[in-house]
Parts: sequence; structure tokens; C-alpha cells
Amino acid sequence: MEIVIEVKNLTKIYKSLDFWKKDTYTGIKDVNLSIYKGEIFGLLGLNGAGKTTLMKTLLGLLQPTTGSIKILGSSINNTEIRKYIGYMPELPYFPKYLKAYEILEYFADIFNIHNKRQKILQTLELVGLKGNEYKKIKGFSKGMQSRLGMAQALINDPEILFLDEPMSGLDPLGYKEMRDVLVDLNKNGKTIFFNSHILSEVEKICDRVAIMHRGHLIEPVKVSWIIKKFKSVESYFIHHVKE
Amino acid sequence: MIKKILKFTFLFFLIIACCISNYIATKDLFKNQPEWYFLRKHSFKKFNHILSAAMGFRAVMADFEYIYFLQYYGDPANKRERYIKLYSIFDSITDIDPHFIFTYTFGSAILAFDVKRYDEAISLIKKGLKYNPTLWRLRLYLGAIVYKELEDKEKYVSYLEEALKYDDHPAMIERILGHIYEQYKTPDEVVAYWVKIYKITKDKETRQHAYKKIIHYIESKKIKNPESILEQIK
Amino acid sequence: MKSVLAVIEYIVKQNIRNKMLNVLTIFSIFIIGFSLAISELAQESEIRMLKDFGLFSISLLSFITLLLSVTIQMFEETELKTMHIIMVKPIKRSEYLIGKYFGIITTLFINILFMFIVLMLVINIRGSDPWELKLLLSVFFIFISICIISSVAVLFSVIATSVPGCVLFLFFTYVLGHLTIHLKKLVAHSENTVIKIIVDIIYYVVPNLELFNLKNKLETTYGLIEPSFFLFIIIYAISYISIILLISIKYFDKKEFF
Ligand SMILES: Nc1ncnc2c1ncn2[C@@H]1O[C@H](COP(=O)(O)OP(=O)(O)OP(=O)(O)O)[C@@H](O)[C@H]1O
Ligand SMILES: [Mg+2]
Repeated sequence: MEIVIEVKNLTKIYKSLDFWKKDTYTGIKDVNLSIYKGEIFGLLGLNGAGKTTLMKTLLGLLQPTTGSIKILGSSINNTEIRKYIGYMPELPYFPKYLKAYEILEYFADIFNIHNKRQKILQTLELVGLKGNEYKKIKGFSKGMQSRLGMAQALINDPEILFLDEPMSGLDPLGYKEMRDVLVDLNKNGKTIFFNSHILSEVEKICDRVAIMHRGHLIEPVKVSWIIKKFKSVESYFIHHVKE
Repeated sequence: MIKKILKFTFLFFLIIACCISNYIATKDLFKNQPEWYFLRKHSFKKFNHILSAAMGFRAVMADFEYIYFLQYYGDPANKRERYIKLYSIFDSITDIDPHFIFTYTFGSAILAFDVKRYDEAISLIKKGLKYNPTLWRLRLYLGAIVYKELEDKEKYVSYLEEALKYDDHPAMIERILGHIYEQYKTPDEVVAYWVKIYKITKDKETRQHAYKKIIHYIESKKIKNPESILEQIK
Repeated sequence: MKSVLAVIEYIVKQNIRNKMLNVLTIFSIFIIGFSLAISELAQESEIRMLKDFGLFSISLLSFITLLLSVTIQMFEETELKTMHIIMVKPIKRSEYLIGKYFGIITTLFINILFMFIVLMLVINIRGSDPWELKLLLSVFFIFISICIISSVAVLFSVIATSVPGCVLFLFFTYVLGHLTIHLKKLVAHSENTVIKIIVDIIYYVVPNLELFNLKNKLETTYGLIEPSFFLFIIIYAISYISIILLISIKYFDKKEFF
């Protein structure tokens, strides 16, 4: 199977935020990970385990302290590669006075998308924001902002999707919609890498999961294997993070 | 590697260009701007002067002080002490902006013809000439004031008439000249003068004043053909 | 190139939506109020005051607009993390930064242009010639100097970690920028080499904004306005801005987004 994300011996050490202090904090340590084309990969972990750190390092928002990252066989600093990537941060925020359409237009311009109007409207419909195209972000609820965050990640039909807690802030119907969107994308051959706290959803859609614990990554396993061995992802998760 | 070297040479050239142009432009400025323009150890006595000079808004600061002067001069309460602070106010305005020509002309006219302190008027004009040596108009005012003090009416009037030819004379000059004319010219000449002032003056009050004078002369029936005069000021 | 344009458009739009152009209203009220107030008072020197005050307000308000714009953008980028999204899009960091700079410049240009039009109208109504060369040049150079400070603002917003810190430093630069030429003149005859070196460092590092300050010299009788002088200050502006932007890009390339 084709590897789309390859991480080797990745360590990220945070320096102190105050430049005069010398103390450091290890965000993630010695992570090795391969993600295959076309799979949905779930990253689990407690608060502060280092999930977001890993994702940001993969995306080049943070510089790795040591180790190497290859995405689609190349470095993330290569702007060509970024055309095939979508990223939704945790708690996405957009400038208040702009309209949903304008924000997507901005990103569409950066991707240089042809017939962008159609694409934008289509994406907004996909994430369930139809009818709010020309509403200012100021009037958006938290969940609507999350949906817009999803929309901007999908605007370029990415090959790989990085989602940082995509379900947070959504209503129960939103869970289902999001699940459907992800499964649908996956059917079209897209790779999805996401982290989440909602284990029931993870169980429903993921092919493989891995647990991040105190900066260490525990070997990824197939969900089907977990179900066989532990009955549910929840008991697997608790088994690993309890000790 | 080569790219890096190119980058550094480019940056290097930019820095050189930046420094050299800065240096030359500053030299130019030093040459072109008079000494007083730059802050020196004993430049100013007032904080607002130092501040505005340092931050480059001395013209506005001078304007504000000028407005203060207008208020001071407009307040009748100050008339009792014959506007004793006038000279120091003018001095302060022209300290912060020595090119404020109007302060010299208007100020010296007030000092000389209104409150009649000739020495102050002359020293103000002299200050103006020191900073604006090419400004010939100021010499006219100086002449007018000196001859006024010597009571040489003919010369004094001729200087004022000369000053009137410049566009930016204070309106006060117009009135002063009118009053002098009234003392020795024929009513027809005086009315002709007021009609001219009525037409050219930029000052509302002076225009009204001129109008009143004209009407006054017409009513006193000393004028040869009042109709044409009235025609002119319509 | 297209992505740079997209960033410019975005920044301008955002600035305008953030009511940045309200400054224009403030300016109009200022200038019209001022002109009414002095028309009672100032008689013949009215036009001079109008010009002085108008230019002063333009330069001050455009600087305030810059501060506001930088504050809002920095706040969004650092506190609300809008940068995270744009930084993984296929746009080079240098392109983004350049787009941002020109976005700010464009906003300020619109701003200054409209303020100046208001000023010209008032001057015209008051019966003087608004197309006077010195006046036009002064405004042009106000714009150039604000371009220079904007580049410094971009640099600070990249380096600084806190918004108030950035604003404070910018304000400092503005003050020092106007002061350097006086300092240079002050120490020209000084014997003390240490002070001389310190002043020289300030003089070459901090932007020399007083070079562009023609508004003070509207009434001068000397021939300050020489083509060669203008040539040099334009070279100075361009090279200074380029250097500062290059440094900003260098920092920005290495920047991490926590
Ligand atoms: N800028 C930073 N400087 C220092 N330490 C940091 C910084 N950002 C995060 N950390 C630390 O790194 C660790 C991992 O943080 P991270 O945000 O990756 O957690 P997470 O797994 O995403 O948690 P959550 O589920 O709450 O989102 C945390 O313990 C946090 O304290
Ligand atoms: Mg997280």
C-alpha cells in the first residue's frame, strides 16, 4: 500500500515562552508513524497528550526538533504539496466582519480554483451551511464556525485531510453529518487523519487508531482488531492510558 | 550556494543605498534648512515648542498660538492694560515658526498703529527680516512704522500704499490708510479708495466698514456722482 | 502573484469592514469644524491654518489607522490563530507577508486619498487653490513616510509576541524617526565619540522620517524642494522598506505557530 504520510523519529521540544527562561517541555517524543493512502486514521489521547502538537508539526506550523516528515513523498515546506492538503484546526476562528462566502473566496483565490463560485457554494452545502453564504461570521454559532472550518479544508478537494477535533462544537445531527461527509470523502479515495475525543464516532468510521500518551505514540492498530480483542475502542483506550 | 551569495550581495547593496541616500539627503536638508529649524541646546523655553519641533509639527503649533493671540486681542478685558502681553505672544509664535509672515505684518501693525508701541513693533519686524531676509514686504512695514514714529506722513503713507499692493497684507492696513486719506484727500478720492477696498478686501468686517463709509459719504452729499458709486458696489 | 493579490484584497476588505475608514469621518468632522471655528477668528491666515491643520491631521490619523490595523491583525493572528489556516495553504510565507504589507499600504492609501480630497474641498470652498504643488507634495510624502512605518510595523508584528508591545515599539519608532535628524545635528560638533556612535546607530537604523516632513515647510521662503533631494529620499524609502521587508521575511520563514 502506498504511504502518504511518513514520520520518522519525530521529537518536538517546546522552548519556554519567556525567552529568558531555559526550561523546555517535550511535546512529543520519538514518534514513528506511517499513514496509508485511502485510510481514515484516528489519533486518540488525553488532554495535553500531544495530539495537536503532532498535527501541527506534520503541517509545518511547528518546526520539528529532530526527525523527519514526508507528506506525499516530499517536505511540507514545498508549496506544491500543500495544494493536496486540507487542514481544520481545533476551534477555527474567522474574522468577524467577513461573510462566509468571502472567506472561502479568499482561500479559493489562493488555490487558484477555476469557477470558484460554484465550488464555494457546493462546499458550503456539503458542510451544511447552505443559506448562510452571505451572513457575517459575527452571527455564526460555534458549530457553524466549525462547519466553516471544515468547508475551508475541503475547498481544494484535498488528497489528505488533517482534522483537529472536527466534531467538537457540533450537535448530535452534526455528528452524523460529519461522519457521512468523512465516509463519503473516504470512498472517493481521500486519506483522513484526525484526532478526537469522541470514541464512539472513532469506532464507527476509523480504519486504524493510535493512542498518544504523554508524548509517546502507542503502535497503531486496526479497529477491527480492537473490537475483536477489547470489544470496544473505549476499553482499549482506558486499558492503555490508565497505568 | 550561489543563490545565497547573490542574496547577500543584493542585501548588501540595498543597505549601502539606504545609508548613502540617507546621508546625502540629510546633508541636503542641513544645507537647505536654516539653523533654527533644528533643535539645539537652548532652542526653546517652552515644552510645547520642543515637542512640536521634535515631532515635526511646528507649523500647527504656531497656528494654535496664533489663535490664542486672536482670542487675547479680541477680548476687551485686555484692552485696559493695552494688550501688554502682545509682544511676548508674537515672539513666541515666531519662535516656533519664524516663517509665519502674517504674524510679523499683522503684529507689527497692531503694535504700531493700535497700541502705539513703536519699539516693540520695530523689533518684531526686525526679527521677521532676520529670518526672512528676502521678504521685501517686511521692509515696507518697517518703513511705515519708522516714519509714523517720526511723524513724516508722506513717507509713512507711501510705505503703506506699497504694502497694500501685496496680496497678503493684513486688513488693518486698509482701514488705517483710509483714515489717513480722510484727513487730507478730497471726499471723491476717499470714496474711490473705499470702493476699491470694498472690492478687494478679504475681511468681512473691513468690507462692512468700507460700505458704511461709502454710504456715509453719499448721504453727506459731498460726492459728485453718487449713482455711479452705488452702481460699483452693488 | 495571484495569491499575493488575494491576500491584499483580504487585508483591505478586513480593514474596511473593521470600520477602519471611520477615521475619515473623524477627519472630516475635525477639518470642517476647525475651518468653521477659525473662519470666525483667523481672517487672512485662515488658508494657511487650514493647510497646516489638515496635513497634521492627515499624518496623525494615518499613523493611528496603521496602529489600529496592525493591532487588529496581530490580535487575530496570534490570539485567535487565523494564521494557522492560511499557513498550510499553497502560499509562500514571503508572499503572504508581502501581500499583507501591500494590503496595509492600500488601506492607508485609500484613507489618505479621501482625507486629502476632503481637505482640498474645504480649501476650495474657502477660496484658495487646492492644487498647489507644495501641498500635493506634502501629502505625497506623508504617504511615503507612512509606507516606511508600515514596513516597520510588519517587522514588529512578526517579531513581537504581544500586541501592546508591538504598538509601543511602533510608537517609539515614530517618535525616534522624527527625532533622529535633530540628534544628528546636535552631536555634529560634539567631541564625545561614544555619543556620536550611538546617535549614528540610531540614525541609520531607525527610519529617518523627518526627511519626508514637508508639511512643516509649506511657508518656507527657501528653495527646499529640489529634484535631487526628492530623488534621494525616494531611493532611501525604497531601499529602507526593502531591507525591512527582507528581514521580516527571514524571521517569518522560521516562525512557529503555537
Ligand atoms: N507553546 C507551547 N509551549 C510549551 N508547551 C506547550 C505549548 N503548546 C503545547 N504545550 C504542551 O504540550 C503538550 C501537548 O499539547 P497538545 O496541544 O498537543 O495537546 P492535545 O493532545 O492536543 O490536547 P487536547 O486534547 O486538550 O487538545 C501539553 O502538555 C501542553 O502543555
Ligand atoms: Mg488538541
